[in-house]
Amino acid sequence: MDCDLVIVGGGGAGLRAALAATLADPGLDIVLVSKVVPMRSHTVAAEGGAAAVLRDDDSFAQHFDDTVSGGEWLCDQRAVEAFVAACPQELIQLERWGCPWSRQDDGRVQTRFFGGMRVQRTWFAADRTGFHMLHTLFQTSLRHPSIRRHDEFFCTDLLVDEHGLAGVLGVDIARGTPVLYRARAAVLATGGAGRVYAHNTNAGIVTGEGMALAAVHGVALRDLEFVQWHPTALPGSGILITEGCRGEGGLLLNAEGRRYLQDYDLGPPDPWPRPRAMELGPRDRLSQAFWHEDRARRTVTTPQGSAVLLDLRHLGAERLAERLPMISEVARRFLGIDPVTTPIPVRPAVHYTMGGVATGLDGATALPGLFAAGECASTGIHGANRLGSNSLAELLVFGRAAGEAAAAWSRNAPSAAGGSLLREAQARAGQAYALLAEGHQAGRPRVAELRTAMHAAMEDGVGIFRDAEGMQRACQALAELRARYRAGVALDDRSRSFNTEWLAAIELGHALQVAETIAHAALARRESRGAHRRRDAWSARDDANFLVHSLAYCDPQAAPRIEHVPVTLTRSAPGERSYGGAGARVALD
Amino acid sequence: MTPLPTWQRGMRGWWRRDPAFRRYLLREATSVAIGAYALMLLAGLGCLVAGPAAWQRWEGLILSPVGLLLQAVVFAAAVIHAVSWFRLMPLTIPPLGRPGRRLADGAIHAGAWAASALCSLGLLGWLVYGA
Amino acid sequence: MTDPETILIEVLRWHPDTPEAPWWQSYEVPYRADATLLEALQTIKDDLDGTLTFRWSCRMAICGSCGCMVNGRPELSCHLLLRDLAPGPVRLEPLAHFPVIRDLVIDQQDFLDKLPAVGAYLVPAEETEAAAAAPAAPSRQTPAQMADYYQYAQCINCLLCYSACPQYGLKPDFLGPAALALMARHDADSRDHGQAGRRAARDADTGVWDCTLVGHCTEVCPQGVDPARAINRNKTASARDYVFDLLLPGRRR
Repeated sequence: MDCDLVIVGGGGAGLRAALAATLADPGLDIVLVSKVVPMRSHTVAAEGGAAAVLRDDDSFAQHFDDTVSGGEWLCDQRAVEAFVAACPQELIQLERWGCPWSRQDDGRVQTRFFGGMRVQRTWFAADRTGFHMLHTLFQTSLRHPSIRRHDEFFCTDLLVDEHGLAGVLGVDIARGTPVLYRARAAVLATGGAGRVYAHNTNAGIVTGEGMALAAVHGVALRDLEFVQWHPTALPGSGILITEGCRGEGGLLLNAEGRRYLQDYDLGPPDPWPRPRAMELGPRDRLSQAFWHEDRARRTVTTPQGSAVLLDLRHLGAERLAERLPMISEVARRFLGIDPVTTPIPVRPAVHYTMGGVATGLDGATALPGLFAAGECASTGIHGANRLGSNSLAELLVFGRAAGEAAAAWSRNAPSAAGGSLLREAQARAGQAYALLAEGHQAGRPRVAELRTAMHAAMEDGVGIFRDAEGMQRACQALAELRARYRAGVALDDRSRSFNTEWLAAIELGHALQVAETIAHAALARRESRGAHRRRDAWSARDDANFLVHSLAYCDPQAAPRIEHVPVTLTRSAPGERSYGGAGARVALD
Repeated sequence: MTPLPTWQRGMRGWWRRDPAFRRYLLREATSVAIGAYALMLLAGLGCLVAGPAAWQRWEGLILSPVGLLLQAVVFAAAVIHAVSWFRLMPLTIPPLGRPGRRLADGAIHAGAWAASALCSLGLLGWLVYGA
Repeated sequence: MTDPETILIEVLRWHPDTPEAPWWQSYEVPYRADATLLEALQTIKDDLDGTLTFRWSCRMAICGSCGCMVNGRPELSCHLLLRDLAPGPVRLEPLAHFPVIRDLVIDQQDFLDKLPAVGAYLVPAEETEAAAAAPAAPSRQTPAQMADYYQYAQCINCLLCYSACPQYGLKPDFLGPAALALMARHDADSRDHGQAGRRAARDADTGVWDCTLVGHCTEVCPQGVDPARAINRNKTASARDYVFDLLLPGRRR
């Protein structure tokens, strides 16, 4: 099938890219390929909000400073400058398209506090912000028939020729038939890779294949060692309990009832509430504080593991119903707890991959014609630790940028590739189908067995705190798992129709690739910064040697090669990253 | 693209699948009983016009054991009809009042019962005292 | 009462390669009181039978993927705990009224096609091209104005309501609960200017008048959307517009 632009992924970034492309050039033939119907994408599960300067007491400079210090100066500052300046317009645009942002009594948009942000900067739609944003984007896309949706089509590979990107290979999931999209431009918007860990807040579809697809074709994966643990998820399931809870005034207590964050350079506890302090500290620091509390056995025990307590009782029933209705329902449904009367047990879980496919500000990758946006991409704005509510804004800002750049590229692109492309497509599609044809053979591992082993390796070796020995162990284990995977997996299901076991096997191959890259990138960073925290000889930040991005170049057969390149600084010199301390009490309104 | 092979399951016996569907059919069926009662009253009116003999025959019919039983059934149906429809009434009325101060479902529901009680009492009063 | 060791899950299965022969298959799954039904299905898929096919994604009742009939009632499998289903057996079928693609996977294309048909998107006020390209400030909308549509905006498109609607089963052309609720969601939004464009779909044979107010859609909705209300209020609006059009023929744009 011929088209001008293929967008892989129907979440927030993919839909925003599609809208931007069609608004820039209504004549463009755009195909939106997604392995789930767009409104099932993981953007839907984002809860807390999206950041943009709106209030009079805020400024781009403050948003910039919060983001850059939050990312411990590993942020690409040029990208952050562009990002903070574009956020307001994007959120206003979404408002125009119908997003039901929560409002003040006079009808103006309401904002709330978020971790690491010094001003109420986070726009929200109750605690279902991602849901409302995604549905608004999806519904708006219905107005543009030039966006042809291929829902439940699974992207298996990219096709490349001497001019750059030449097409995208997919599978029609329901029929099990291969599809070749011949196009000179593609935007990867496939989301993160949180599912390489056992305990995560992510939907089952967040398996990282977009990153792996680009990596297979030589595009670097940047800063993958920076994995974000969200400090408040339900034990066991990992279901997210939004940071908005703390933005509304929620407290974190250990088993002794102490607001333990004061013991981790985030205090003093009073005055409270106070931005950039205590419960409104950044996610890396809060998750690390949990880890220490847990080791000191000051956590409570639940059937699903240890936890601390998120206390919302003082907010009262009315405010919880207005601002945090979904969280209240989640607590009631899954824990049988009413947050009006009982604190919610929470613990950290993997939430976000700060790194991803290395791109410029327009989403362009090193492969001509290939663009990336959203969580699968790394524009460099998050650095070593993303601030909550920057990612929903990011997928709009850079989704749009990538969509427009891809549209422009496709207009001037070289003509479609010829017959050799078809032959290559057949060869590459054959690899995916070989997995299916081999099927069940004695001695081969099941998908779940390899996946569980991958989870164990990542949780063990590349966790909240890391050391060289553990990371080496993980690298070794993942190399072995990849070798076993290449030798073949056992599939019960050999039919073509809606074969989700087969797709899970393909996803697993990609996930293993990304997992191994995370482990190697982490091992190569011999310092501690943001979410990458080591307990061995490299427990301190090292700006002299490691104020650098990592770039991982993957190899289908061997371990990835890690390089480091300097970070772009513009106006913020690396400094002390401090939270808590002096600060005035603020009003929560 | 080839059409996707699918399995269409059909609707045979659909009302047996869920008690909610049977409640719905019962609610709809009550209109038949109420319609029949209206026809019965209409017949009475016709008999009244036709003369005393016809009227007495009609009166005899409705006061017979079978007639009384049928009226008991109609009364039960009318109660079910009123209860189920009054419950649904707030769903069918467009938002009343200003934004933010919309009339609550409970008020609409209570209003419906109050109006029906008022009508019934008025009719009863007229029958007892007025006629 | 002690917890059972296992729970029996029975699934109605169908595969297009053997279209004449749907079958019931039973799985004995380890029981954990606080596990969800979805987790039980995942256990089957991972450890017992990789061919069992179902959709799932978010695990927290917001993506709308995992709907199926549970003991005859449409439910999200991620939203049910085994403790509420014990001692079993639990009977699972694909969502009623939809064509089955395989096992618990239904064909949702019909619903997806209905969304543009009902105009399930906000139509902003007409703006100059420059203003539309770079809106300067958010428009205002008070919480009271939001309250008029907010409930309908919670629809996650999980399709449970369609499985609760015999009208949809009997007449698949009927636009159905979720699509019509989304129509009402946009009609009731103070920022919307698309009401005139949605009227034809609302008033058509397949629109609101096809609803006989069974009301079960509202009972099964996991998000409290209340499609029955959305549809039946639109019947009143449809009737009102009909009368006004009759009395004032020039009124219609």
